[in-house]
Amino acid sequence: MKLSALLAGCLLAVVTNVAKAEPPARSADAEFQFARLAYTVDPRFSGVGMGGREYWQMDWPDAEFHLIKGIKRLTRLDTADRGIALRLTDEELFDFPWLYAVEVGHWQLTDTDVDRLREYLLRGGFLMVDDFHGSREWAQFMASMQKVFPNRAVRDIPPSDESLHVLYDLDQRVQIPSIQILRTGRTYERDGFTPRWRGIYDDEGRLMVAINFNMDIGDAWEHADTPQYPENMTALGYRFGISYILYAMTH
Amino acid sequence: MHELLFKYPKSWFAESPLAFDALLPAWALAVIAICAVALAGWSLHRVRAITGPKRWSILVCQALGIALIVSLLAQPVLIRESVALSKNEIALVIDDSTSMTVGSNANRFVQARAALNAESLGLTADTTALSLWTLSSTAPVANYDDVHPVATSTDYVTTFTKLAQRAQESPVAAIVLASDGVDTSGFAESSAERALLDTGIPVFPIAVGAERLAGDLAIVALDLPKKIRAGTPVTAQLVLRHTDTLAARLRVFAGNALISAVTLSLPSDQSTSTQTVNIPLPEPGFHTIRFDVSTEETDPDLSNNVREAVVHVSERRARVLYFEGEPRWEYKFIRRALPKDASIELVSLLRVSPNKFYRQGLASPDELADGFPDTAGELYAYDALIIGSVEAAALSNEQHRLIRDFVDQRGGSLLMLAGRRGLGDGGWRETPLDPLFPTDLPPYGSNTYTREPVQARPTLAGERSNLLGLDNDRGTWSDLPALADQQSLGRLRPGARSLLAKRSDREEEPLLVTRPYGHGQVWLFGTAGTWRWQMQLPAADQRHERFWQQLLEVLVAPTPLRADLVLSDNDGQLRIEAHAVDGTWHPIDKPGLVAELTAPDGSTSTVTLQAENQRPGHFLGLIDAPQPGNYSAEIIDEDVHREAPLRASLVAAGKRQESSRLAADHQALRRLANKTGGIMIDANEPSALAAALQERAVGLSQVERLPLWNMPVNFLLLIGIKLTEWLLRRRWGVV
Repeated sequence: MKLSALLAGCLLAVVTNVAKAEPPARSADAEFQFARLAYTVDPRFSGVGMGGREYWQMDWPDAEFHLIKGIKRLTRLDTADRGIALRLTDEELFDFPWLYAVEVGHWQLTDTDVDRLREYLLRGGFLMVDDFHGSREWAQFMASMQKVFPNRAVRDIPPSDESLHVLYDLDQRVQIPSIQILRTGRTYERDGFTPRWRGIYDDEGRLMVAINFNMDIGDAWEHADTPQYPENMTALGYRFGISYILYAMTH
Repeated sequence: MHELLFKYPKSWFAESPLAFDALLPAWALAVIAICAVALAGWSLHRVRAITGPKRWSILVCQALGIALIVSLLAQPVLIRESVALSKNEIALVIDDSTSMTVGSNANRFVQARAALNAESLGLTADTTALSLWTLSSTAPVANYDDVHPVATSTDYVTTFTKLAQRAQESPVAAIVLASDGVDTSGFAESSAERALLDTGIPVFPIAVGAERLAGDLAIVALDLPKKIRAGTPVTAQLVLRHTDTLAARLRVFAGNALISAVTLSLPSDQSTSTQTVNIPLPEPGFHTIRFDVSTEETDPDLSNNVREAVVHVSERRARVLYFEGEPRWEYKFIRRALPKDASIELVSLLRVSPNKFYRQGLASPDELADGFPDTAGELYAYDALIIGSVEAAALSNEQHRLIRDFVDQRGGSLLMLAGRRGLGDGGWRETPLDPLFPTDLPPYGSNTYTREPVQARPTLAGERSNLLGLDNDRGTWSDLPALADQQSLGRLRPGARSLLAKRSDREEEPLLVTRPYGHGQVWLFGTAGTWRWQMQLPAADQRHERFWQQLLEVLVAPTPLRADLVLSDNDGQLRIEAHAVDGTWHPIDKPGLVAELTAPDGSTSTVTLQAENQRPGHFLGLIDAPQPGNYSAEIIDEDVHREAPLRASLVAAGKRQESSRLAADHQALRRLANKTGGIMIDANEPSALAAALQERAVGLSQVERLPLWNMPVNFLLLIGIKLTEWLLRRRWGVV
């Protein structure tokens, strides 16, 4: 009993340490590197149900691993082989004008985070947020986002928006499900029945924050090699990801 | 003193030969002298008390006295040739231009008229023939009572030409000119001056007016672009003349609307200064911009405080084609640097995938639908071309030659950016474009592109360039973040200028270079990493935006338009210049172009501009335009291909107005006097003219025999000799 508990504890420690391992450092030999935002998690949710990981690490490392492959194959973008994780307080933040934040229904940005994110976006940075569902998680997300831009409205991204027509014409407004679809058969989570593509725009009408609500694009990337996960959802996920990246690099 | 002793000026003795007017012949005078000396000697010999040296001493004194008396008996005279004023004409000339009105109660003209009074000058009509002239008249006037200073310019040329001609018909001994010397620049070195010098007539200027006019503030020159694109920042340069003025208020009007008001600080240690003013310009169209300077002190002349110029604010927006070979952050931030309402349109063609291009900034959906232009008509529609990380092999040989001709013949600008597929690493050295480049690019395969950060710093040429002024402070370059990447440009070629260099521990290498080629210019930028300036600096910092706005402006500004019309004026002559190409961008081959000219009074006329043989497609017309005001011209020739009516407008100054300089120019008058052999006459002592005339006047002369026997020095000498003899005698006790 004691031995098995000890072994289980060691195994858990190993897994935890592996899971908590930081993504590799910045690659200086590429124009673009996938940058995952390591945000401040609401203490109420920190580590809960994540097997020792934080919410910002959801789908890591497979999501960006697969997406990067897709970027390299489908575009001329000089992309680093591996992604990087950045905090809003990191000095290197402004060397990465494109950021991905997942499970933002669990974030709680500090005042410093808020100021840094605002400055980052106003200078020309771009933020893609993904994989948060239902009204409660929306409220959690907006509680911080409204501090960043209290005077800017969150709007639905219209079908004609240039962000959806850079490399692909993304006319399909289909709810991209998480992997749980294999278990539940549902494309939605909680009360997030309807997918919403929303955004925050700057004074020139350029999209700064792409809000992918009630969908899980990250899972589409992560499970690109999961045979049971719908292939067309993975393809759509790739297209959205690449579109947001190319949009950020052209606007 | 000399005249006190010798009766006449020293110069007369130097210039005039000596002669004798004795009634007796020379031998008779010699006999008299010898006999007198002999008699004196015999008389001394009889006086026993005087012997030896004493006798000789006294004899010498007596002989000297006898010699002096005999010389006076010979009646020495100076033969002097002098101008016979009564037989010659003295031309009095008064400056009757508007600059002579300066001054309070006794203005310059009043002073001049008073000085040119014959009595003041020591001349009288009885003894001197006088002719009265004004600078605005072509014939003598009876008197100056009815003359007023209203002439708009100081015309030395006409008057002195007339006098030179008159001197060929009648003797003119001298010219006395009363003037302030303002605006006589058209006379020096002219044919009129040479004609005057050939006559040998001296000019005696009487200078009036203060050389330093207290409190006068004037705009002496204005430099304002004649044509700009809407949205382009406009800078005007004014040259101000100021005396004792340290601050001035400048107001700028577009029509009647005040568009700018600034306070200018004028350097106290300079009499002129150049002021640079930024002006917000109104909507597209022709606008008459008026610059009005004022000061709190009393300004003696307000007419030179205003200058006008016409600016054509064109609706046309310059178009720049940016061809990028791969998605890059530099591409994004260059596009963001241009505001939406900028006067430059950035049309971009981005290769996002191996077989797909993303187009932005299009004028129509069909623009660049087939990729990079492959015809002159398509490419020449742009004013500048930017090529990013694109390998040379992405374009055909024909497209390479097209780009070359775009620069060489079209006059467009080419900017090439660094990239892993750009510049030398893209194989561009091995293309027909190589001769265009300002540097010897590294050969293909050198792989000089790297993402190693590097700092940029302006070179000496860059510091002098307006392109690199980011915030009116050259020091701002030192705190700019490092660039994200760099690439070697190779060695500079002759004629190339390096404006930016890499600041590193290694040997400094050029970073931003340019060189003219044909009718255009080529720029190479050894980085695509300026985007870090935007991301690493606060959002409110506009240095990145300003750099790219200025660089793009430098690219498009010199590119010639498809057709253009320019008006300029010079002292009453209007210059109308046009250039035009046909639909295939070849210079129009015609003997002339027809234009319609509208004068300030509203009258119109048709003008034919003649083709310039040495410049195909260029046409020139020269029109007399003495009337100041707004002139406008429009090309009405149907053969000219144009996107909009070809018009130009100008506020012409007409014949040269002299009020932009009111301080008297005595130096100009001095030069005139020196050249002609005259001298300056003090306006407060005009009577000095008479003596000056005697010395320097030309014309009919008379020979005078001036007696020398009655010079005071003669009597003094005689008294001195006899006194010496008496003192000697007294000393020796033989008085």
